[in-house]
Amino acid sequence: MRRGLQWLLVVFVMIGSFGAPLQAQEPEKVPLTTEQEQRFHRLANELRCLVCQNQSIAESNAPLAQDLKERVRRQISEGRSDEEIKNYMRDRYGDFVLYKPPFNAVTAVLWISPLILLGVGAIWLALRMRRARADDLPDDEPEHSER
Amino acid sequence: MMRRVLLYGIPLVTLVGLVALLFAGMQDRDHSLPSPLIGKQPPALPEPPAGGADALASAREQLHLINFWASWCQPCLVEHPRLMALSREGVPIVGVNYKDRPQAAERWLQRHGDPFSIVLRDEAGGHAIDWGVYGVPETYVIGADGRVLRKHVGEIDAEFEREVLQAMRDQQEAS
Repeated sequence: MRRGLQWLLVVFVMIGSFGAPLQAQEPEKVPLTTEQEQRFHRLANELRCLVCQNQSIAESNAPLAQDLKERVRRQISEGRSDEEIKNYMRDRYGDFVLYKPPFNAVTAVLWISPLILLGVGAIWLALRMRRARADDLPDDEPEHSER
Repeated sequence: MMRRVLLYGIPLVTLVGLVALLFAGMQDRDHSLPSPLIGKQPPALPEPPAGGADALASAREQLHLINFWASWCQPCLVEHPRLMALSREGVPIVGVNYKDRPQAAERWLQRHGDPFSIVLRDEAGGHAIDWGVYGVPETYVIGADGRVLRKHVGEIDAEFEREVLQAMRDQQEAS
């Protein structure tokens, strides 16, 4: 049983090392002040880890996410504004890198579709309620008797 | 009657529409990503090795590919025969060796063949970030005017190969 578990561990480690760079240099973190550190965490939460399934770079340990976090740290320490840092990422990876994509022609569907769904739902509900009220009143609609 | 149709019709149509939309999304196998670089002059490449400046310059005078790859990357091996074929057809390919050891990269090229006009080194992966690379392999098509025409994520396929060859022929006819 123990042996089995050990082998399982070996297999997991081997799978995990596939596709990862052989020389994953441990990046030396740019030191930040407490205030800058807070800004870093907020920004890292707003930036998407591009190689993960729906994770921010703050949550991810993927090598690319580590590299991007390092870029964010360095730029904070160089005194760049949040807007500048986000634009820096967007210039390279496009709107997709931002968890809150800006409103434009491409992302319009993304932003508007929940509103449309809500509207359709409201219309449906209104119709239902009107029908329910109609059902309470005596009328001579033929479908009334079907219920 | 009309009201009843609407009552059941609206949720049904909405549901079917949503499912169809999600299904269409799943079928989308398009690997060309909307890179913000397309139509623009690309960012700087790593410095060429000693004596490599000429090879880089002559590649950049015409339609060429920039291919980010690494010896540890399995899909790079999958697309490798296509790169070899494109290189034989005369398409210059600039290889950017991503987060790799020089010896490992060299051995890989010796074993499988070298499709690259020149190999540049991006050991820390910093240039890849400037180019918006998600991971290797990634391939950019650069026009003779130096602008980015297309970006392909993952191993290149037959369609990509065809399109690049077509673009090269168009360019030769134009000149």
